[in-house]
Amino acid sequence: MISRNERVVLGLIGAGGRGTQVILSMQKCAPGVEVKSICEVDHERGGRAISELEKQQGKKPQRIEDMRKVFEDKDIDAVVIATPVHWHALATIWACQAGKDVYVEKNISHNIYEGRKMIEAGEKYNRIIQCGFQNMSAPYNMLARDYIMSGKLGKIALVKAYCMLPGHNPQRLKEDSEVPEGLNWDLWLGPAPQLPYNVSYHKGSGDFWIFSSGTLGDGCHVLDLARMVLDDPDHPKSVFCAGGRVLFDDNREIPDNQSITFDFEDFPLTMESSKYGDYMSKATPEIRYGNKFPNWPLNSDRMEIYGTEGMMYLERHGAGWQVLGTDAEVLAQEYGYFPDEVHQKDFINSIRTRKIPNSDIEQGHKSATLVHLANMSYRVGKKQLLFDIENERVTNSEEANIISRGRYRTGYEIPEIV
Amino acid sequence: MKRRDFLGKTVAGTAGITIGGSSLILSSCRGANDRVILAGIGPGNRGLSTIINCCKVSSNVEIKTVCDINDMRLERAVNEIDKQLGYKPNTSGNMKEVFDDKDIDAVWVSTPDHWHALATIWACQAGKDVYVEKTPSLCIWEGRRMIEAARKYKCIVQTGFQNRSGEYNKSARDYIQSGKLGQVVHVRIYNLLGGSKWLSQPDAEIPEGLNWDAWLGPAAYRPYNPGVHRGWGAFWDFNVGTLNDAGHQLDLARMVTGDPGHPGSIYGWGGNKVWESERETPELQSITYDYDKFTMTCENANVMNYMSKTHTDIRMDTSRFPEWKTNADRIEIYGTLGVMFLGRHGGGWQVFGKDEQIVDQQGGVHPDREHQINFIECIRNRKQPNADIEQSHLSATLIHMANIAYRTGNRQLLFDGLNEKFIGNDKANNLLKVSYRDKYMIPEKV
Repeated sequence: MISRNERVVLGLIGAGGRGTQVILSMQKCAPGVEVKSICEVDHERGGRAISELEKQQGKKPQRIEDMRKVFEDKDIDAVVIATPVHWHALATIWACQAGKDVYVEKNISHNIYEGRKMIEAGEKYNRIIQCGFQNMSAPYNMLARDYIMSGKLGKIALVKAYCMLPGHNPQRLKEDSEVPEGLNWDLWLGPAPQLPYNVSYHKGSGDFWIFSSGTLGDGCHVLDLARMVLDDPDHPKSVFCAGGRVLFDDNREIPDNQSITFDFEDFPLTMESSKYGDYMSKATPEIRYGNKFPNWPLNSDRMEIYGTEGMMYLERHGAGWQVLGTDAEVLAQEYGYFPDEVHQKDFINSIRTRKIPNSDIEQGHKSATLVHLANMSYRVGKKQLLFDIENERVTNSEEANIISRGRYRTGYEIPEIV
Repeated sequence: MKRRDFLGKTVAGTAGITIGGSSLILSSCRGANDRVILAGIGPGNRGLSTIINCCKVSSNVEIKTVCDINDMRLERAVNEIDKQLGYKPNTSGNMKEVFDDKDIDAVWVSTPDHWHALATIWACQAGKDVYVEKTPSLCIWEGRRMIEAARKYKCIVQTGFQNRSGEYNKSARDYIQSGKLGQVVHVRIYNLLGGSKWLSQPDAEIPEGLNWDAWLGPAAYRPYNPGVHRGWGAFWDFNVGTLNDAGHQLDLARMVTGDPGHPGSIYGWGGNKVWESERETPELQSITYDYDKFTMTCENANVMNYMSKTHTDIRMDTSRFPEWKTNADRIEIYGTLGVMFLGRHGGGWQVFGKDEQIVDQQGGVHPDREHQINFIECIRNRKQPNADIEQSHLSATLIHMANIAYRTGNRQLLFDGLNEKFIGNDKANNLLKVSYRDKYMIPEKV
């Protein structure tokens, strides 16, 4: 146990845009936080994190290429994992085994099996694992949950979640090529299959199943928030996902539109996850950081929670929530603010106090599982999957269970016994 | 009931008047203004108001007979027609008498749903044209028989999916078909209505003046129960449940997306979890139709009392649009270039593009009037009506599929559209066809 003011030493694993943003903010979100190492398999990246941190903390972090070196470093208390998705679980488990606490970006796992093993690792090594579902730390979301739990919205009948992102560019698979200088491609691949270097994979990993969860990799924030305000329901008993690709007939594997229904027994949770319409928009900075509500029907990342007494619009980037009654009369509302910083503070606080963090891996895994179930349903042919909640297994598709288990390169296996 | 000089005013409508010098007039073809004689079968609130209105909006249309198995309703219908149209129609307690009446050109079927198909088929067999209220059928199998009857007996069968006649709906369809919305990716239908817990009632004496056996008609006999008689929407024997109203949006969504064929796959969730009613039909359904080119969802419920259908003042006002956020029965059509919000009682449509700009819009009025005019025109010119039974059957099938998905355990169903059968699912296929009482069989060959 580290006392409230004792120094916390961090390492960052994966210094891309998001990783850099998180580590810079986390270093200054609480006193006594120091970043010792920036781990990146690509020498082109990580420079900004190192130079900014040097300014912020007066001490230059060291550059590391192989994350195992970070885990071996006894000085480091905790790591922030912001690699591509296919590395999240293994890096988390290795970190736990080395006694480090973990902040792991979303989507926290690449399949259901991984998520379960992350929980086991956290428990076995008595580690804090905070998922990058920052909405769990937002006061406005807690108030939304309180409002719903108080019964003011009435009985919950239907929940509709959205992650309808503006359009994107076509993914044209390039020819394989030489590994760029300064990139350790083998380490970048890590648990993924051994493939020759291809810039399309490297820079467009989100378009391929072997590295990502598709657009739902973003939608998981909304799903996680929906679960939170509904008081964390257990897994759904079934999932159905339709959809496909409309915008470009290109080389991506992931669909650009998915219509999903999760059966939570007492109510259905639907999810529209897509990336094709420029008329949908994410909350603007003035909405995220100010007192302003979005134009709800055209907001990308909202949900609609239909109770018997009213309908709540709730957004995930700090746009707050409003409850509408007859003729759209506002019955209650709360402004919100983008919750990154409070979430980072919560992590540092948990490292010091050992309290369960706001976005603990146990619930994070259940939210991530919604993403995996939906993608599995899509990938096995837009087939409804029935889920054995207790054993976390699909009961009507072995093909889905194979996807759910994942396959790992030798040396990068997720162990059965963590 | 006396006929009261009705026939005196009637000119037999079968002679035909030559239009545009054509020498090839079918015997059933009439002139543009020839008298059309209607009969109303099962005129309740909706059925009575629409048949009366139909006589007002087209010239030379009269109601000869009203038919009901409930004397009280008959009396009310006669009085209302007298009040609004200035004459008293005949009455009958047996629809077969109506079909036997050579004077009658067309019937207006507004019975409970379990009678729709059989009444339509009997009418066609008797050579009558038919206006049949939604939902046109109680099951997929009988919907197909209705098409066969309409075609075999060359009868006009217009369903009560009146949106097909709305000018603003046609312009919405044209807008989408022109490609201005881009490729349609997703269609989202709302039918989130209000309601309350449904409570069962004990059986009771059959009220005087009600022919309960005839009311039941094709449905299995059961003792009289006021909860069944007045709340038939709660039972599969008589109705398609809360989706009955959603049928309008399902049909309109199909219309504006170019009338796609049956979807190959559908998932339906349903339940009575909110009010915990003891009714058979679910209070809430959440459905996904997987069309080849796009997905369509339908949220359907009777548990949201704060949602409202398009307000009556907006329904007849082309300059105003509903508050879409709490509009209970809107359609949202997501294309690659824009999203269209479309109302269904009037209410018009609006297309939104980047930066929340309104790219295009058109107001609309409630399309009942146009739909009634279209029916009478088609009786006279023998053209296919706007809501012909064929497309209406495809729309009604969406309802039946969703209900079957619920009734088989909230499951995905795969559908063979060509043969109108579910693939590899006996439980679902057993629900393709309801059973009929002996006197009320719908024949395999109509």
